[in-house]
Amino acid sequence: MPEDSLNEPQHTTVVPPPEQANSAVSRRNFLKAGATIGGLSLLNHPSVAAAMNAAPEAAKGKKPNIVFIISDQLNIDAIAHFSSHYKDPAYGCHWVKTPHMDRLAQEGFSFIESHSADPVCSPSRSCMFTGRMAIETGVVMINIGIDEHVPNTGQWFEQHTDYRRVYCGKWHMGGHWNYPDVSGSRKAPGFDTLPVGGSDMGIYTDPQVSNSAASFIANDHGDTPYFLVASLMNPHDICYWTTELVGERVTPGEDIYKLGDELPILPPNFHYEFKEPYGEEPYRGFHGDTQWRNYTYDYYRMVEDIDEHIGRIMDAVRERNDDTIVIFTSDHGEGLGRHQRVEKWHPYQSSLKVPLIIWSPKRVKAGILDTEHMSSGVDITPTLCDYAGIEPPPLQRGLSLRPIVDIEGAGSKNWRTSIYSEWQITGRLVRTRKYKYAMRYQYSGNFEKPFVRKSDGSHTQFVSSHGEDFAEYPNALLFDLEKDPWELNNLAENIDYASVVAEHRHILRQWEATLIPGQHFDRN
Amino acid sequence: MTADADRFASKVSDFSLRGLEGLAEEYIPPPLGSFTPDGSWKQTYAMFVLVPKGALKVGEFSLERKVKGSTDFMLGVAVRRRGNSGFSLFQRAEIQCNLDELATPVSWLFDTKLAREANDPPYLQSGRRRSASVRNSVMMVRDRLRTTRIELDGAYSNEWSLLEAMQRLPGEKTRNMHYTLIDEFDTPQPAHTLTFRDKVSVPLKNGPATLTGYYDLGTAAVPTTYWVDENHRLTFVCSGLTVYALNMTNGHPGQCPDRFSSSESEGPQDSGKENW
Repeated sequence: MPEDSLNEPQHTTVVPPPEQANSAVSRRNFLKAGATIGGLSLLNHPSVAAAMNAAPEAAKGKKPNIVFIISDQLNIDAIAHFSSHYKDPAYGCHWVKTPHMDRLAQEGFSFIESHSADPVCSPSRSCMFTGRMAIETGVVMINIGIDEHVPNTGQWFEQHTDYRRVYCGKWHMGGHWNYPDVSGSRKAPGFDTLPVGGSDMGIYTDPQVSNSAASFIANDHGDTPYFLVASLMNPHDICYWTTELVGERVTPGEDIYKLGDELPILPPNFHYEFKEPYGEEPYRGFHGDTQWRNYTYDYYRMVEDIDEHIGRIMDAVRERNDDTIVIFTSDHGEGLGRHQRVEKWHPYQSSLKVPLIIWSPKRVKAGILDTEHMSSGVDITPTLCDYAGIEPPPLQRGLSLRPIVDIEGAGSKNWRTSIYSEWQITGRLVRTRKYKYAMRYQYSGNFEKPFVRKSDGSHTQFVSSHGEDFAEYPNALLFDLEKDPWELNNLAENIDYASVVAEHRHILRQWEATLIPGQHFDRN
Repeated sequence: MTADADRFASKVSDFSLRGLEGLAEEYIPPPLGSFTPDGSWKQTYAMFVLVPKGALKVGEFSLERKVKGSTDFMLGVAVRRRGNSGFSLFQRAEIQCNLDELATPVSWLFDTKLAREANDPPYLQSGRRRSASVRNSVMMVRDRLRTTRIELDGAYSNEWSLLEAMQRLPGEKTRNMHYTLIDEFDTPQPAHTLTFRDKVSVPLKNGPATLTGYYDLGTAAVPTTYWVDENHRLTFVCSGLTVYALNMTNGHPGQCPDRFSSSESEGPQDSGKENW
């Protein structure tokens, strides 16, 4: 092999020194104001601007490198190691080989009750990277940039730490583009970019991500820690298996593979009987059970493919044998025939539940499959900030997971008892230990600003009391997830559960009252 | 996979060839020149990814086969996957392969980097070089700091040497081969099965071509079909959203468009969800 320029000096990331600005407004007071007053106008209030620029508690001592690995559309039960928890043979863990994610789970701390904050790509990612709900980031659907008033972790780290911040892979929060450029209007704010892309298909782009991210990790000798995001696209490619998108070019029309018993079985909730909220209905594009099973078979092959990419990145991390934190999650799950759904968007567990594994041999408890603590995508940012030794941005909706996962963590005596998620822009749900309640507001038809303004144009919180634009659709959902993990029995109209519904609506309303709707800000 | 390929051959063919629709209408294979499968040659391929409105050329790769001895040969691989900001992922490898059905790789040197052009330095610490070898069913992958030991079970190949092997397989006489696929030079994916699939006539721009297909199923890859022409040149590879198309043989180009659309695909339609 001819010698090439691999031996030439490597580029280095230039990072400005952390800002040292002070603020007269304490974060506690700021959060209190946010919680008690609410309203969009706060975003423009001088106290908000001050807090946004405030220097959090100075980072002390050597901080860990951080590697944040994201997969796209990965079901939590599609990791083989979780078969001890997901025992039903219809779960994905019984149909895949995932040695690298298995090892990550064996060596790390896995949250089994882990939820997407909004099970669609861009909204979910905006929640993970800001610690705010999608209605607050403004990213209530795909192809919207994060509200310019809401800092992402790259920007926050840039302001308040000496971390070098590098992004590689799918971003999808900048407008009508998925992969960031190294500069210009399509750069991910706050990050340097390892530029990959070329198509929006994981089969093509994920090798670029894993090779580039692994090389960066293997080569790095910086004096300051790095925060690297490796954002993989798959198994999202399965979106293009649905016939409406590409005719029948990709999706097998029948048992084309002749795999017989190797085809995954259909889930127990493939057939179900209950009324669903507006907009929720089964996918009709497949013809027969076998096509559904072929779809599932291909999805699991994509899961195995990202397992390889995760393994490549983790090999580089392990090779360094230094102080590195790895956080691995997905933006949302995949319908995979459950309730006859494909893709995401839905309020069901198939869309909502995601893997969340935190790994660090030097810091994090190993081999834990935690079913006690409910977590959410909004917990990512406060957790990252905690490891970086800084306070998170203002108005966080999540909690740091570090007290739970750290070997010497303080524990979690007062951990949350409910999780709030948004779905399909106007859908809302609240998950408690036993139940999940989901409902949907009516869509006003005013797409540009449907949830941040009243019909007269003034700002509002998005609660049902604000007029007919926010009336509710009929057919809410209530599931007893302890007795009914496959969500077959909708209890929302069952009079015996009226108090449960009322309790969950109350929780949901309380949560909504704290939110400050953002403004859509499409960067491109 | 069961061995009843003949029973469903026609339907299988129809399905797997859908990825080539649109491309075939515009495609003319490179002239044969002096190509012989077991000789020295260089093939260049366009990499397409199927997208809702058709397919885009997103990269290219070359395979260069050099005769070495009576039992082995060298295979050079150069891959360019185009990315953003004018950068691409460049991967190169030199592979020593056994002259057998799977072109079994014995040792290889491989590197990867993000750069604007092949001779540019790696961007942002993205360059890395490694080597690997297999002895007694143990694969050793060596980095500058560490050697990783990975045990292999039985026959194996890698994704690139397999492309060479296709050009020497005996068509319908090919036996089913069970093997481990080494993906991206460093990761074994077990339980693959390669089998003869079908012989079909495909209408290309310069006339119909008879293609022989081989079919692969296994871990971490959606089903893949390899199509070779009557001169044993690997012409197309179809796997889910990916299509590779031969666009040059020994320096002689064919005609291969940069993008193509499928007659079955007229762009994205409503997915059943509100278009959000």
